[in-house]
Amino acid sequence: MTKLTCITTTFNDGKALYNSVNSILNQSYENFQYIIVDDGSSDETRDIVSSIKDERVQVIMQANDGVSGARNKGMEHIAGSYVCFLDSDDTRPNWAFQAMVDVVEREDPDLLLCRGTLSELRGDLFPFYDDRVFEIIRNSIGTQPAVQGDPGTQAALRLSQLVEPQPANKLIRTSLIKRNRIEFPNTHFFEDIFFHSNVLARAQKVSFLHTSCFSYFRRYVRPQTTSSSSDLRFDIIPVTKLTLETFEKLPQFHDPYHRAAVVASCFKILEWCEQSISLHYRYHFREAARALLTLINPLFLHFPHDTPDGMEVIRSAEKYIGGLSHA
Amino acid sequence: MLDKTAVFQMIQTSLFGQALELKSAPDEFTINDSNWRTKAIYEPFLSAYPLPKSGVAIDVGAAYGGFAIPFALAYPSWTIWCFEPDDKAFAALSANISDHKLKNVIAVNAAVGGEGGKPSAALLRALKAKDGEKVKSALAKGPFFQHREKRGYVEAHTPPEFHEEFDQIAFPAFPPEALNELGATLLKITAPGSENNILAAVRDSSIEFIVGELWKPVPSGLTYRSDGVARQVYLPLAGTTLKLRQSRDSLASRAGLDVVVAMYNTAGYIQECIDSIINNSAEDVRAIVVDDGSTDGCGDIVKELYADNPRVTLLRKLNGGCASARNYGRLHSNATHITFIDADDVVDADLYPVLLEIARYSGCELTQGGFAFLHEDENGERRLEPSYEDRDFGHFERQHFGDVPFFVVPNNVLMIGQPTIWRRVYRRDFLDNKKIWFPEHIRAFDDQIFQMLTLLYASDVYCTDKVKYQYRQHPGQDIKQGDERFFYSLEMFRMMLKRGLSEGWNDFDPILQSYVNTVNWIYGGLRPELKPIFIKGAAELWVYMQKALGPGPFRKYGARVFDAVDFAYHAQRCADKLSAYGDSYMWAYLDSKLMHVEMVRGNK
Repeated sequence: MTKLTCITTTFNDGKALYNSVNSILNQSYENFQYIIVDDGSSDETRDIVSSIKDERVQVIMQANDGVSGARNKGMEHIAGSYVCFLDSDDTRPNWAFQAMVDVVEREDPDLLLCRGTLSELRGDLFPFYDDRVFEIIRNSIGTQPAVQGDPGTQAALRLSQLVEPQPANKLIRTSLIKRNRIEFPNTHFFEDIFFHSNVLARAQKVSFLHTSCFSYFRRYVRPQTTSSSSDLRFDIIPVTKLTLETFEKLPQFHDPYHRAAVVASCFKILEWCEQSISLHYRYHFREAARALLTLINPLFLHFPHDTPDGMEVIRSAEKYIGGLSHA
Repeated sequence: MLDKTAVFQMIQTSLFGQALELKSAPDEFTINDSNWRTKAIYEPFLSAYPLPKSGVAIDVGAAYGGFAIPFALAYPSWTIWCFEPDDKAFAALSANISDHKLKNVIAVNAAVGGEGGKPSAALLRALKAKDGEKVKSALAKGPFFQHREKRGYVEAHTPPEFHEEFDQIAFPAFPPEALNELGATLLKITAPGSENNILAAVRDSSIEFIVGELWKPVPSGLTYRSDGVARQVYLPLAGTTLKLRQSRDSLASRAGLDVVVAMYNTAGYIQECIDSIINNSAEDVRAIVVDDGSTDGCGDIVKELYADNPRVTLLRKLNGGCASARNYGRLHSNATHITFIDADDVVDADLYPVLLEIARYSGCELTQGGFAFLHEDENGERRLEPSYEDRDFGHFERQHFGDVPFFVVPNNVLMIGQPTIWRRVYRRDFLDNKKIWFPEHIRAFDDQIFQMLTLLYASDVYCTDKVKYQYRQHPGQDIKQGDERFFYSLEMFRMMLKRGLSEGWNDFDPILQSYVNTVNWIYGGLRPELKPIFIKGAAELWVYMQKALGPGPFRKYGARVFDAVDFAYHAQRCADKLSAYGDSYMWAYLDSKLMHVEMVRGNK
């Protein structure tokens, strides 16, 4: 029976933490380890975490070190054969683990990607942002897994780079992480794109689950860290650099479509950060982004001429990068 | 009893992580309808709001089990009660239960609704036995309408003009009150015409999750427990973009609207104002009257008249101005929604209840009612003068929320209109999240910054003009004085400029457009001796704005957009002095005594 590990990190989430914790503890599939990393909370969160009575829960406390460091700390203690993450303000439906395990036991993938639900600011519920990418993948390969080197599923494999770089949407084989020493980029925000690109490029077999297995909330009561206009948005620049530097050593680097998908998914976030960072920083942000272009492998700046279905984002990245280099 | 002769259509479905095959009566309408709801309503709802490990669910209008069967499989520790009146659909439901060997589904071949009333002893025994057959035989029949072609469509009430399409038919009717006997945590409801009765009957039950669809608006209050404990509710209103939604995540401890009445020396008006707020049956609309250090005894009037009224709270504070009184009231609010009224104004009795309903069905950051100018002469003769909106907003496409027409006015249109922050109902969490307050040191025209910021951050605004705010006109109103207080506007625009730079706004044009309009409007109304220095200050700020934002946003504004002839001269002089220095955000931090009212007053 497959054992899962789920990792949640928390920092001053207070009672809001109950939503995500209970959504894990009430899973209909019960064979899992649940690691909660308290990343130096200074409020009632500490008491809430230590009051959770469930033998599957293991709590790790650390001085505040950022979400990446906290997740890395959690990853040192994975006991399950597959691992997933859930942020402290997100939830999973009760069926999520069971549905994921069903696929994993049938297909034995390195990575499983699943659909999600988006709760918007007004409480309206929608399919998650990447619904269309999943739809194209399903139309292309049905419910089969995508396998490296299999010509019939290559397109789907590259497309999955364009699935949202959400930690909640993936279940990863633990040995894949251990063997490749995959971690989150310590001290940085916008850590997800690094992890996502790295895991995806290492996975030989990727499965897809077309059922919502997590929900992501935008809320007025709890502003997202990454929605601020502060200087933390500079972090996307080093994270992009680390992502591309890592990717360039992998075989997929030589697939121009996969490479373009990685560049596009990084620069999509980078462009959004430029549009959101305080105007006081914007000039310097743009300077740093231009410097980044000189630091990365020049092949990253060569985009394929055609646009496969679902990969339109490579065109917007090309346009944005063109604008940066001609500034 | 299983009907062995029934003809079924097979449906492939995938829900709650269960891929399965279900039988249905051959009724495309029911199948499509059910498939749509599972994908658009049920799966997202249960994905976002996970249930406890075990519990009891109720499925009213179960049809062939499109919801109930996958639910029973995905939630094996739950029990689900299904109610379905149509024989063919019920036969399919029974077959599906048997095919999937489900032990946690109890199916009752009955409608929920009818006369209602206390459950009989026989019914209670049958419920306790968890026996669907016995439950059915304990029920009296009640009249329902079943669609002639779409047999899955059963209604409790059908307007006479549609009667030709329906058969009137008597179904065993399960009294909604008896749902309380089931100890349920989740209610899934597909019951056209019976929603009101059902939700009213279970209002104070143990139910924590309500999901389904509505065919007519039900009063949102029915989904709120009377003790104020929040539920998780998601009920789209068929044929509209509206949904009744309620969240347990709200930090507000009271689901409802607080009307903050900023009161300063309005003894002659306050009773009519407060009465107009509470002259309705909406218990969740309450008034917080803030006596801002009045000296005419209006606070005592409020105390005397409303001491025993739980819907009216009186707060007293040292005088601090209208902005401070509004903020003070807001700081004392624990409600999900908030609005502000001036103590000499009056509202239509339905204004707040209607806006609160639209707010709860839309989730809007702000919802807006209409307004009219209230004139009263020495003899007490009243006249309501319609606002310009009656003329200008007629062309926005009307949608319908029950019998209330509503429409969406683009935010930039509202932003350049008269500051009318008071006829809007706000989500308090939105105001808190965006840090929008009335700046307290700004002692006049503070509405303007509040109006601009709320409209800049909100997405679309649902408006209705069916109910109105009556804005009393006085000869002595601030606007008509033409004094130094107009200089507050300059400071407010400088505050917005700094905020926009810091938050990384990408479009300052609404601010610039509004600045031009405001400067021209003030110039028209200002006392003659103040005009020259006002224009000098306005020109200085305009130059700082240009140097802070760069030339781009200003290209559309020529030298002649300002009415004052000497504006361009002052702007040029100021720009010349700074011509040696480059553009920078630092310029937004520069200031002038002409942007501070007291400095203008004390240092002419």
